[in-house]
Amino acid sequence: MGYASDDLPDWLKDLGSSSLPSEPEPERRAAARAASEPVPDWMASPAEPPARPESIFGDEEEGEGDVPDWLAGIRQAEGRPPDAPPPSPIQPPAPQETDNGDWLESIRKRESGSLPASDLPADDGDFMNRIKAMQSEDSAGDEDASQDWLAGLPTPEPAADASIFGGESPGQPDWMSGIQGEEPPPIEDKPDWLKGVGSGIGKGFTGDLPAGGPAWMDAPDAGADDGPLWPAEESARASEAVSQEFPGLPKEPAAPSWLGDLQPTEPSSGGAFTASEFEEATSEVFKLDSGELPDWLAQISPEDALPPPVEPQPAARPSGTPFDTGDLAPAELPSWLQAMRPVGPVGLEDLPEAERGEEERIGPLAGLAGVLPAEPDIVQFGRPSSASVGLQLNDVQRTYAVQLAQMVAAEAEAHPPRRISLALPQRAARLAIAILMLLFVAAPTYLLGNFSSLPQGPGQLPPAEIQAALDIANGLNAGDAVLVAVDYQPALAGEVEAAAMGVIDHMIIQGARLVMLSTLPTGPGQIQHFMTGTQSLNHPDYQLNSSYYNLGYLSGGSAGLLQLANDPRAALPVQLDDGRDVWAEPALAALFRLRDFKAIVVLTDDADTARAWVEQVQPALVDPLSGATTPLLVVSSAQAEPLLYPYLNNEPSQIQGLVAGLRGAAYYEANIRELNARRYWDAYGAGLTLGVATIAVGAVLGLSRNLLGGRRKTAGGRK
Amino acid sequence: MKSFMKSPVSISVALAGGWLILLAYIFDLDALRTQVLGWVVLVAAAGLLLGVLNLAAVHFGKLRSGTRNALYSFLLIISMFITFVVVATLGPGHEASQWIFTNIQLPVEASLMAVMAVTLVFAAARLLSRRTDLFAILFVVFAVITLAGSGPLLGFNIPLVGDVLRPWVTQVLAGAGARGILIGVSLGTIATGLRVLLAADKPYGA
Repeated sequence: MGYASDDLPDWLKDLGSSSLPSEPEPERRAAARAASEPVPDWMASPAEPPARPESIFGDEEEGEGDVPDWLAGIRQAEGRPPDAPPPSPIQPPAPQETDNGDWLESIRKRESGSLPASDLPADDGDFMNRIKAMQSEDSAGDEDASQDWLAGLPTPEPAADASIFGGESPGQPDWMSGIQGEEPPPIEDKPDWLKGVGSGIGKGFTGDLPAGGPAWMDAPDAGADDGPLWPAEESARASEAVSQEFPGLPKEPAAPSWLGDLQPTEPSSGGAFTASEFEEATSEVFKLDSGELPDWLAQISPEDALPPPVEPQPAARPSGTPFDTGDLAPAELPSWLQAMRPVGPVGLEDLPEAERGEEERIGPLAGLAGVLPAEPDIVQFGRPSSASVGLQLNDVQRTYAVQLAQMVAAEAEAHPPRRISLALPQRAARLAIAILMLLFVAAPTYLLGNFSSLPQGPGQLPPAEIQAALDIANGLNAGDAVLVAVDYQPALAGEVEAAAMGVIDHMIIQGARLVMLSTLPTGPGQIQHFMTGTQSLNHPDYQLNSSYYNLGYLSGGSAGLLQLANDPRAALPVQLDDGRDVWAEPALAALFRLRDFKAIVVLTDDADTARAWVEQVQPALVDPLSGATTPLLVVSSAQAEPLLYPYLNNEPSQIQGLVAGLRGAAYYEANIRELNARRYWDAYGAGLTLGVATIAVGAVLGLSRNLLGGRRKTAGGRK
Repeated sequence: MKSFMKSPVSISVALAGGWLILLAYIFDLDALRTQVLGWVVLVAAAGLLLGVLNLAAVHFGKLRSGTRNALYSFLLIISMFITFVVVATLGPGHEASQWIFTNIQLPVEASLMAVMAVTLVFAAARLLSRRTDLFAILFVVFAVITLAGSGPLLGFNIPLVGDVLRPWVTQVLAGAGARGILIGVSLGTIATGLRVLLAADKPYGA
């Protein structure tokens, strides 16, 4: 099993760079496959140099200031100064990158002859001297103790008879093959300590290094699944042995509770370095340089220092272990590590139905399930959190905002009409005026009757506008069509109808055919009320659709009037009840323009309505050829009279006749016959008298009170 | 320009209609003018119907909200519905339609006018009590002259008042004022027409 070059440490990369070209094709393919497969971090971690176990003698890398007191006491007992470096009797069994790289590089350079032996680093020299001494002392001699950590690693295919310099392995890199295939040239000036290096190293490397890395890297899972390299129990045993050997030594401080929680519940039995392997690997190391060790330390054998090998716990091998672990017991992962362990590819068929997702029914993904994420994963239920857009207001701004909101809310509210509380005299005066008005109006109508004189006495002439209206009516012949516009509100119907009664009666007497319309929505009803309630009393045979016609409502205001002036038939396309066109009636058949009417009579209570008729219709009443004008007669209420005089007194006049109010009707009826104007005249006079008297009395009282009050104030001020 | 971009359709229609009618007057295009006026009359009638519906909707909303005056809204809606149905089905000249007009609408409005007459008399009587200045005195004086010359007082026509003073006041003084008002109205109408034709004024609510 190979590894990708990216996952290897630097020193292994250096090895691999020279070994890859000589790889056999099958193994290179295997390496390429391995490179294509992602290697998780937990698997790559064994490639890193394993953490050094806690030494029972303390951490060699600690500074001097970190040396415990008991060790400092030992050093003092040996006669060395406390700040002197320790003799480093024990080399760490873990491979050091730089060390391994250096000595291998040294070997490589030595083989190539590019590096003289004198340039070898001193550490390498010491290291090699140590190996040489070990070779001479150890009867086994064929094993380099310094490389025991490599030999002790489990190898997939151990080749006991193959040496790195003698055996041929298909996985050997070039530099190794060069080393073993070519006998290095003898170095004449090779120092003594270096002479035994070649044999020692050659004997030390008994394993077959596969391509891409040493054999111990082939068991990454074991190393990853293992617990700490130096289990806590083993450390405890070692500490116990030390304490038995040196009873005077101070005990190490107990591990804190949090550290105890981190310790595995069961001793780890597998890994790249098991306790037994580490013991074997370090057994020779502890024998090194025993002469340099202090006595107390030389007496300590590794067997005493190290705890007994831990019996591998029979553990169930996890399914799917990609390699044969041999005698290594499978690791039992702690729960937190199991949660982090990557899960291998799982087929959709192994997933429960709920997790597989809904199967696609249409489209190119039909038949597949779980390909696209389900909608619940896409659609976010609930309202997304909206960004706050609140304004930062100070107190003044907040006050203004509240006031503005209150003003807007107050405008939207419909306030009930405010009740005006009147003082008792005012309420009494108002009530008294109302009662007197009713009495003054009703009494002459029902009790007295015709006691008032008409405005036009016998032998007198009516006003000019009344006389013009009389002349217009007198000019009508039987069958002449007269257009009558009923444009007054029902509220003023009493006055306007009384004023118009004499005029309309006069025209009916003359035999005119009245064509009536209105520019007000209430006009059609008003027309019918006027004709049935007043004129039919005096002319019972004057009936609708035979004597007069009701064309109804003309919409559009001034625009409607303009259209009426241009084309009356288009403006009022009216059908009778039997479906006949009103303009097809014999009395109206000859009417195509407003000039075809003999007269236009406008009954109105509003000066603006009369003005609209004057502005929009009156120009159409003038014949451009002959200059003849169809007369426009206005019957209005008394309130509109002053505003209509300008049109009446204009030259040429735009209104040919005007009958305004009950007074004008009285004049008119005085020249025809007495009708409603005469009947209303007494009540009108009585009410008018009461009104004038009330205003006059109130004005005098008010004026006198103000004048007297002003004098009193002036007199009071002078005092 | 900003308002034109805001509501280009309504402004375009108003400008086109105004200039079209004006050009029809200038070039004496009676047919075109009559056609456009026919559209205006039709739209105005539809607007009146929409106004009635809007009034009904407003009072229907008040009825649903249950305000204090909801009873009046209820009466208005019922009266409107009955009148609309009767007049639309039987016609304005039918006896039922005339009965509604003669016995409900006409008395109600006439009563309001009578109350207003009493109120105006009372207000005029108290006018000099509240303010005593020249125009208040003139207002009261001319009101008394006009009223006294409009009809008989105690059955008699007061000489000079009805024959001289009142016609002079109504035809000379009031006529002069009315002419001024009418001239002002004409100038205002021209100015308003120009503003509408130039889209400077938008009475149609754009």
